[in-house]
Amino acid sequence: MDKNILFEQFEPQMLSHMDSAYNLARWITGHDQDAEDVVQEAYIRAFRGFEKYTDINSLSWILTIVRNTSYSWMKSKHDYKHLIEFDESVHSSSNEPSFIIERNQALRQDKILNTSNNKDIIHKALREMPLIFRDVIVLHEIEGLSYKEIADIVGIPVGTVMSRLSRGRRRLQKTLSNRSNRRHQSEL
Amino acid sequence: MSCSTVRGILYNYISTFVDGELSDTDMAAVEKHFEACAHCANERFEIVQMNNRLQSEFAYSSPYGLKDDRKNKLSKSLESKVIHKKSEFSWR
Repeated sequence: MDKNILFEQFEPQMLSHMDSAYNLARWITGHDQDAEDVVQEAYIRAFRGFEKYTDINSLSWILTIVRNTSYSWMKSKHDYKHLIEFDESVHSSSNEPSFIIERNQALRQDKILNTSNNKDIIHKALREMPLIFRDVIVLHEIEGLSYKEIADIVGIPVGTVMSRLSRGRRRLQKTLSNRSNRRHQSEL
Repeated sequence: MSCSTVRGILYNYISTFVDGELSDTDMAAVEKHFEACAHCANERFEIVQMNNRLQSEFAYSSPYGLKDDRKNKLSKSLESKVIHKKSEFSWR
């Protein structure tokens, strides 16, 4: 098919997802310029594959390409620090949140969560989270995708999406909880 | 359902409940547990709060004019890279 005709079909379907594409690339790469470059490269890849594109969900399709391009980009930049495989013994917290959260601790966390200047804390916690949790959280919480859509994008079973989401959330909560405890102790 | 089941390490029903991805039967069972357990109900509340903040405050906005600018760049890139030159990356 003529590339100009193909582009006329590609443009309305795919360019509307550019904000989501940029957001995902930005959270994975951690840099504005890298995210812009990744989005451009991803759209070129997408256009190349568009003739064979048969997916019903164009957002999932383009985000799959953006995610893969982001990872390729980081490898090409030798940004291995953020691409290290998740190691249970290294990345898991030795003291997962207790099954029973003390009520006063929960209330302090609630207070902390609602404080606007804690945006930086949450942002930092998410930015520093291992990628296997971060991209799932970004796709679900920020982009609002379903477990099934995320499973397709990341290439993992739905059960693994559930598990990663749950553990990622716990990490964020733990960060806030630690922060609130430190603040509480300093107030005593 | 017990607390240890609802708050499983690998499979956390509260997290999945908040996302509305449980079966109807499990949704009802977890809902019933919340009525009896303030701690789990509170965790549900915390997850909802965190989700709301993430949705409303943590999306990176495209740089100003990115869409229009991107369309132009993309058209040029497609001409120069797709038609005349291969990308440095292989197609997935």
